[in-house]
Amino acid sequence: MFVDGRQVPDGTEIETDLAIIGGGAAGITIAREFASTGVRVALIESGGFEFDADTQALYEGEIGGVDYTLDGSRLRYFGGSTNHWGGWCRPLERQDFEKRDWVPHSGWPITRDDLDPYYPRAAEICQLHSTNFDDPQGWPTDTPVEPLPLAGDEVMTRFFIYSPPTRFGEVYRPDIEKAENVSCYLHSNVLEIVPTENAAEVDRLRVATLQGNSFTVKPKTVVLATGGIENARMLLLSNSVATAGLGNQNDMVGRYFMEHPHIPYPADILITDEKLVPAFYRTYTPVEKAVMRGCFMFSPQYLERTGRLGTVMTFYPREEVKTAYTPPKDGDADPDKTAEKRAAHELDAGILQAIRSSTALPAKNDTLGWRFGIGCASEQQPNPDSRITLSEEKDALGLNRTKLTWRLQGSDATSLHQNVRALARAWGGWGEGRIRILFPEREEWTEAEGWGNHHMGSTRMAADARQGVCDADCRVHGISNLYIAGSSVYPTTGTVNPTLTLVALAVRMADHLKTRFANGMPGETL
Amino acid sequence: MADANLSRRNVLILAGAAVAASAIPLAVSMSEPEQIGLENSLTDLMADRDAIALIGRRWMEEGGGHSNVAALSRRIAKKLRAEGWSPDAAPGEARAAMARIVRADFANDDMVLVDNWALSRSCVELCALAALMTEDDAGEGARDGARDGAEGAAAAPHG
Repeated sequence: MFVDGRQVPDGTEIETDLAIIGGGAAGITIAREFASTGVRVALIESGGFEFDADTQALYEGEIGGVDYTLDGSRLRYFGGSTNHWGGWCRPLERQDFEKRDWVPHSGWPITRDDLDPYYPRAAEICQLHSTNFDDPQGWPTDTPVEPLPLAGDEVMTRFFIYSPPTRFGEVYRPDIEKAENVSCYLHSNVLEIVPTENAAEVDRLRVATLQGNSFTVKPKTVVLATGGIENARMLLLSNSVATAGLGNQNDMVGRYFMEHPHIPYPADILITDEKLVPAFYRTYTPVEKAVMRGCFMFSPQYLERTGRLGTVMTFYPREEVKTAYTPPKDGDADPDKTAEKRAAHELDAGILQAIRSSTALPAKNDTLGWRFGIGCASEQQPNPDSRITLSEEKDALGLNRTKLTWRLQGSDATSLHQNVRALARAWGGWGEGRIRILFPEREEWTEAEGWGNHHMGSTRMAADARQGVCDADCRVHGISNLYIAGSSVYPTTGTVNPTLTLVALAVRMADHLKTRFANGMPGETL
Repeated sequence: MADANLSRRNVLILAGAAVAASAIPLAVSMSEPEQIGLENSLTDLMADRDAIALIGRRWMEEGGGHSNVAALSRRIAKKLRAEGWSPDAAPGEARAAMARIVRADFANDDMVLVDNWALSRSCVELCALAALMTEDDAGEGARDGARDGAEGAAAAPHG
């Protein structure tokens, strides 16, 4: 059921078994997993059912590093950032979980095998209608799904499956409404997670609304699921007992913030015949009830051999290249631009003729080939100096705002540049295409061309409390009944969108918590 | 008047020819019969000599290229011969040989950038050869000084 927190009388104390802070993909998933169990759940959500500017403004903050939008990259109402999610789903690669000698601070305390049992359930929750991410021959389609036969072992075709995208707030609202053991408190902001005196266990949550009333939630177990930035902020704000913040005894909370730098034009492709590129590479392609899309990723052996980080690339057709340059129908006001376009066309035509002189067949008509564009998202190396701290500025609730100092590194850029070069080898070696490398080599990377609104890493998992904030079960080191859900626990990011994996982790956490409740140890002392 | 109209290029060619004439016995003995017209055989591999010449020209403008027809011809021919090519090979065989060389270049990361297009070095060398020959055809001699020196003289009997 839903409760408007603004109607809860001042000073009320609510006892519950499980408090979940945040009604986004992770929080709603865990709450649903507990529906119709004997466990009392309080799901505490800052917003209501619709976007509200005053609530959203609680996300505003200070930027210290690479420019970023703190309030524009996430949404603060029921359903969270799934309310603007694009729906791209793919599990992390097996290698993403491993400690890679060439990637400092890499290595999850769990493996892909640990998460594999939960991906199918996550796929169902994200309404994917398939979990066949890697076996295109297994797709139920009359047309064989044949990946491009690119040369070498460096580049591989992989597949995303699309969520509709699932707006968790809309799709799963009825489930929460119906669940008698789940109370979702809307318009309710947790001000602090207050631990016991020894800071070894959560005692209570201080909650307030923008309207001014406040109340307390007394949980046996708490899941913090407020998103990849807010999770760290909430731990840092919870400093009345542990003055550095909860779980921050090793100064790890907020560090290692990572994104997926998105580069809109890292490369161009010239290809002799657009028909060589199956439709599934170019756009969202329905296969029965599922919708998929092919992309390029880099093989584990290539990444290990060369010491690179991963990149995922998609591409799309842009324009036909004919033998002769055709000026725009309405002309071009700028003669210099026309000359530039003509020169570019002539070079394109020359390259296509060169391809057709050796590795491809001669042109049969005046169409020499096609130019395709590429978009990409890249992994960045974990960096302890890329971090979330508290700003001196206060929000409407009187809480310190977020200060985000996002850092990119020259090595991140080198990796991406070299991956584009590997793509050039793969296409050139195949023979039907050539790559124009538009992402330059850089010693430093100080400005982001784009990002994915993927907030990761700032409460990372690690077996060793000195290396991370939470353990392999996502329980905060040193606190017996506080868990963290969401992509903030990722020690490394992989290259693909984080939502499917964070939902899988949420299902896994729900299983873990159910076992704990069943064994009668929701808040045992560590 | 006719003498006065001699271009610098033609003067250099004549000078080169004089040097070449004195070297003919040696040059002929060292040259292989198929090298006669070698550069034409090579650039005939390409579908559109003018179009690919533009790539070669751009490469040279960007500072990456060679400006010597003979040296480029020899370099490319050597690679092609290693793939079983000869100047009288059927077009299909020549294309196949070139394709193998191009693929090997990419496999070996032997790429050059032309306006940031990552291309096979061998292919771009062939484009450069086409560019130099196009210049020759057009009677433009901007690069002739370099080409018509010692190596140009050695190349004279072949062309």
